[in-house]
Amino acid sequence: MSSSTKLSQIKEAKETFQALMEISKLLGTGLDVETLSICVRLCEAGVNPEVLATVVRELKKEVGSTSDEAASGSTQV
Amino acid sequence: MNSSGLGDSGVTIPELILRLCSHLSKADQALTTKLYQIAISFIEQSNGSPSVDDEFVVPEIRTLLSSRRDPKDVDTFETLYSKIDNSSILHQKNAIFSFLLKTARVNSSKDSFKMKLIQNFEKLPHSQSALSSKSQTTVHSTPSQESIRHLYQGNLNDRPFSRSSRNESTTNSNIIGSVWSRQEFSSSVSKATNLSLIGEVDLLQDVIYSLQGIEGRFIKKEPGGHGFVIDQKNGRNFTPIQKGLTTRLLGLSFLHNKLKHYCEENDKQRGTMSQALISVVRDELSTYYKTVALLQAGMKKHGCAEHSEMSLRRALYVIQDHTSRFEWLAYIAEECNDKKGGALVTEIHGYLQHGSACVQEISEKVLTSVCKPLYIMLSRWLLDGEINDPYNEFFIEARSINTSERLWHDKYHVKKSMVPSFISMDQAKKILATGKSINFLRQICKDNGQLSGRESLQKFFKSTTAEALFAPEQSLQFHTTLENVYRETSLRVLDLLKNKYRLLEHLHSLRRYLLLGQGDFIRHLLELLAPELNKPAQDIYGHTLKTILESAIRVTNAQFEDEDTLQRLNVSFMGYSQGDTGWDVFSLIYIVDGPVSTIFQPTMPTYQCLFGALWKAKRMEFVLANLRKQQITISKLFKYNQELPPVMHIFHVLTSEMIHFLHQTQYYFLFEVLECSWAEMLGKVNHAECLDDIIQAHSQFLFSVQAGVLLDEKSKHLFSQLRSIYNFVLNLEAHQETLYLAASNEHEAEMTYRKKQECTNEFGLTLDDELKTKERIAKFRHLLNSIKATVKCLAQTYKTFVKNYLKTLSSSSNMNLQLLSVRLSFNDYYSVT
Repeated sequence: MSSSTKLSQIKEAKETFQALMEISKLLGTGLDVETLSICVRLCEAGVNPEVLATVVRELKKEVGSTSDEAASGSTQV
Repeated sequence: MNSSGLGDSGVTIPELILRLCSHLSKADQALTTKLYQIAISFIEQSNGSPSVDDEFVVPEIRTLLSSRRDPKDVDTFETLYSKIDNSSILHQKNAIFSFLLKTARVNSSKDSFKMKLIQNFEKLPHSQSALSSKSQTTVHSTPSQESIRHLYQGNLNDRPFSRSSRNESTTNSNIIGSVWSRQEFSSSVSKATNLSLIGEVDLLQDVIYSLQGIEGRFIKKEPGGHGFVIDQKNGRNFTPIQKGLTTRLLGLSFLHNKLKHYCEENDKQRGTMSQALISVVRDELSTYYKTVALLQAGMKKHGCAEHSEMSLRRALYVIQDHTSRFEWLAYIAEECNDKKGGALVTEIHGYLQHGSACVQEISEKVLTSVCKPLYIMLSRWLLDGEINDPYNEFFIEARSINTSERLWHDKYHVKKSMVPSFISMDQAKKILATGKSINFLRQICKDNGQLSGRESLQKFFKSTTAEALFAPEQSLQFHTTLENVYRETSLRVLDLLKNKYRLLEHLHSLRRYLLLGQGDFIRHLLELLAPELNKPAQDIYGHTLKTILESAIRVTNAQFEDEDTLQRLNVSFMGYSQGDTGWDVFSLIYIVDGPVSTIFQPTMPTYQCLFGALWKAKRMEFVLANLRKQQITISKLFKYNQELPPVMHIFHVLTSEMIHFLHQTQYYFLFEVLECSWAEMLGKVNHAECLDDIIQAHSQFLFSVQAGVLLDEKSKHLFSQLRSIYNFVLNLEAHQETLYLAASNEHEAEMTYRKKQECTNEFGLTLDDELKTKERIAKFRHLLNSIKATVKCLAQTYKTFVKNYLKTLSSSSNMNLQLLSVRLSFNDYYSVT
């Protein structure tokens, strides 16, 4: 019995996540699968969603700036 | 909790963040560390609770979607949303949605266009990392972006900066971009309704002003009233719907103004309970202001009219709750305008039974706060017997009294109009009695000891609030506590009176001396006083009588009485007028002081009256006994006299009649009236539960005795008849006295005459002497005849009087008096024809 419920749970989780992914796309959040799944988990863990959003934005900014630097550095070289 | 596949409960937040960082940095170790530090610092900085507008997240997403693209997206979202909503996997759905929304907003403010274009044109089945493709897409999409913009360009010719700004950079034109995109869309969507929408926002602003009592552009104050009306001139462009909604909203502003006006008007009005009511109203007003502030904030949230979440309808919904509350508050305030104190509480308590839950809630709130002062007053009164009521709101009032004896009777009263409806009259009286007893103990008995039963009451007052007075379950507890305290306090008073202040001893002494219970003493006192009291009233001196009283005490059983009691015994004179003898003004008094005088002092005049009546009967008994004694003396002394016996016979018969009459009357007074009432009172006093019981039993005793000895209002005529019968006794005494004097004179003269005769053997008697003797005898005979006639007449009248008296007695409604009449004429001697 427990295995069957677990199975259905996993299935349901998959569906839910897909739906979330769709919504994310609809809204144009620009999040990939992995990021979204981690963020959803964080939300479930009780992290303030507003803060999380800010964090993700900041992290992306950071990544973008470093990669830019790297790109510009490489062109110079 | 997070047993789903999405949220692994074993993974902690830092771990997740670390994963996220490493994912974003594409496993670059150095970058990961840096990102992790940034992320943690952010999370630590704002460690607050989730944002408040959780429930608004989904509608916001809807509006965001609907404002951005074709309605198909909204439908898609709806289906997806319902799917997620039904799933049991996620627990923080709102948080996730909020996160998504926020991220979307962040992106849209940065590059909403770009994202949309990506999705529209590339139709990627999987989302790609926006970040990684950021610069790339910007470059790619520029032409298409331009073409799309052309589609929307219709009314944007006056904004040349927008194009250039967008071309300049995509990263640092956040604000301008957002403004630009919004205005562009809204103006295209709602171009037709633009005019009326702006009107609605302005109108809403005006309504919000009016809700705070301020006039606006379209809404003006109603002349001479509290309400607002739509301005005729400026408001003519409104649609009927807007007008209708506005009118409904303005109803609340009217109520607000009314309540505010009430508060201001009654602020100066004294009275703690009225102030409590005002404070509730103010409280309610301040929550209302909060709501108005929220309305205002909601309106300004996006800084732009078309996207504001507020509309007239929405405002109507938001203030709905306040409207109904204000309606009832205003109604209650109106009803209570001219009331104060307990009457106010009663009025509000009436609303508690209202069918509407809202009314019940608001009136309970008001009542609780209004009852607070009452509750404090009540606890002060029940615990310390103090009244702290500067505005006459409490239902017990204190009046000023002249003497301490009146404290119990006169000082404290229940004000009927101020008794709250949840306290019955019976309970109010008990509350009164409890506090009164405390005051009585403290002030009169000087008893400052700890009162038993206080603790439970104190505990009760500590553990409950004002609600306990009217809330059904708690009020039950209140009433039982009250009952207990009342009983304990009353018992304490009784205990003190009975044991420390010897209440019962005083009662016994009063009965013994003022109601002539101590027979030997009274009899002796009467005998000693008789010569003194026969004098005219003005010739009698108090100290003489006092001495006589003391000597009477010394020789009778009264000497064994308690010293204290004898000290209290004294004689007194009532005010006399010309011709009064000592009998009319003399009275014995018993002085009571201290706490027991509360019981006895008011009844002292009654005791004086009773003493007067009983004393008179006693005196008649005494007079009659003397008459009989004298008659025996006469018959022995003057037995040779042949003319006396027939006269004396009349005297005898009349005296016997009188003695019979008086004995029966005395018997009735003493045994049927006094003893019965006394026994009844003793029983009641022994079972008394409070001081009032004793006072009542005592006054009832006095009343029944008064009725018994014919002193009450109903039997006044009987008493006057009795008095005239007494007068016959006194008349007879006077006649017999005359007779006795005459007879003894005659006797003396006769003796002298005989002596002379014997000494001189009839020779020394002159003719003159014989003549004189004859004359004397004739005179005596004449006197005898006249007395005989008078007494015969007296006897006749006496009989008629007694007959009348008996007639009145037998027609009396009182069974005992009828029986007395039967007993007085048991052998039908005074047959009533």
